[in-house]
Amino acid sequence: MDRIYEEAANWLVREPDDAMDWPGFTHWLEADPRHRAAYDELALIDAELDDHSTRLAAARPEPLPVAANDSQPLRWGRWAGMGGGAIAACLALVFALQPVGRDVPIQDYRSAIGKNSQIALGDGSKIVLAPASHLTVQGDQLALEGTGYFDIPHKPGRTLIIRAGEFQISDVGTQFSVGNEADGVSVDVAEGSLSVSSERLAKPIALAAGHGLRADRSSKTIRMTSVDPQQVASWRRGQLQFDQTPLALVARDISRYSGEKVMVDPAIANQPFSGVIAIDEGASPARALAQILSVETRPVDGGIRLEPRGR
Amino acid sequence: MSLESHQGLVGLLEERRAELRRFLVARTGSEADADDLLSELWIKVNTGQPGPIASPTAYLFRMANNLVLDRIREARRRERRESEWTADRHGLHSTLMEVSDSSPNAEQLMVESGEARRLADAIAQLPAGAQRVLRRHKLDGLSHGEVAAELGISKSAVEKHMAVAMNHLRRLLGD
Repeated sequence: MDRIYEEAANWLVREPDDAMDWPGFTHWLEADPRHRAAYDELALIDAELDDHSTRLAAARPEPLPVAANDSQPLRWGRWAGMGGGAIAACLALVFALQPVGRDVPIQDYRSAIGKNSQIALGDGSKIVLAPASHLTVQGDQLALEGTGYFDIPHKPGRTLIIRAGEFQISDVGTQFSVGNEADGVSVDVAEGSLSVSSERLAKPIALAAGHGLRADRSSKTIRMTSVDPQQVASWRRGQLQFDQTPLALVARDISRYSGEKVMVDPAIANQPFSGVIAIDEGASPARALAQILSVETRPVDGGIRLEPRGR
Repeated sequence: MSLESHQGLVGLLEERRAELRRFLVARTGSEADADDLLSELWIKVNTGQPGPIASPTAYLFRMANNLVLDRIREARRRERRESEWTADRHGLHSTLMEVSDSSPNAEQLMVESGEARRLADAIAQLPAGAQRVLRRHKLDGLSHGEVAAELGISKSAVEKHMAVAMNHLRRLLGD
């Protein structure tokens, strides 16, 4: 079978070449139906590479990112709640759970677009998943793609570990939110304290209530933030906070959290927006946004499109 | 015949129809699919306006080959969606929507970024030579000839590296 794959790879690799021997390829396919299956398999991987080439080229391995440690003082800054970017795209990364024993069952929770999901675990932990998020639970090991709010009761001798991208959050009983999104990983503590570790950090960081951490994926920086504990995961109450967020990303968040399909004309896609958008039953957050920004709205197939004035 | 006009391509398709059909039958394993795709190809050739084409015959075969791949991918996507809906208890199906035509919905993005991450991990495990060639060719978009010139190796060495890389990826992603 390995020989078949080798031959299939040779045909695949030469396919874009004008000198490709198409009759020869046809004969090879005709010789054995397994040839076709092997070629399909490789061609699908090849197509996936093409689909993701930009992202993969950008994700080129680089020297290890700067880790936050004692010689590099952390920047403490006021953080304006749930940054639009943080919850913007749902490009959550998939990561593997450390095996903790084969007999511990894995549970999968997914939230749909437009609504939060409430999860109650057997140990009394309560979790709210933001729309379009995915949580895997295997014993005390959790893994998050997207955004979630965790309310974990204290239990002697138990430590819950939540993986979010390259970060692990260890918790013995507290309330906090975690985001594992396109632009990076964020943690905000509303009550109690927890510990964040990562190979990007020289040593684990302890975060107490009112503090948070932002790990930006593109700039590879890690920043400590302070946060109003009352405002942690304000999306649970239907509040989306944005800080200088491009309109296209604001629209994507509104679509994700409200379920209202919002599109943005390319002419205003990069216009920044700062403020709070309320996601309420029955109201159109996109129209509210349009009013604030003085842009036009136009109904389109199943949703709303924001356009510059005077089209 | 180095440059081919639109009319020329249509004529060439007729001329090569039997060969193309034989290829499509071999490629799909089905006469019905092959005939279907052949009509699709005919429509594409008659409505498309390609720029100058260096090798029109190779161009037609590549088009046909791409149509087959598109079909396979569409079938895979459908299977995946269906299995996801079955697995999902939250009624994702009814709430799923496109955020916009050009920006895929969040659910789709999540699937895609999972794919990208798996690919990135697999690429990082490739042998150094194959990895370098694959990155320059597939990710940075250099042609085989350009990669060969840049790395000071022959074009057939580039092809060998690429074939090795693709098979490694298959093994890594198949696990």
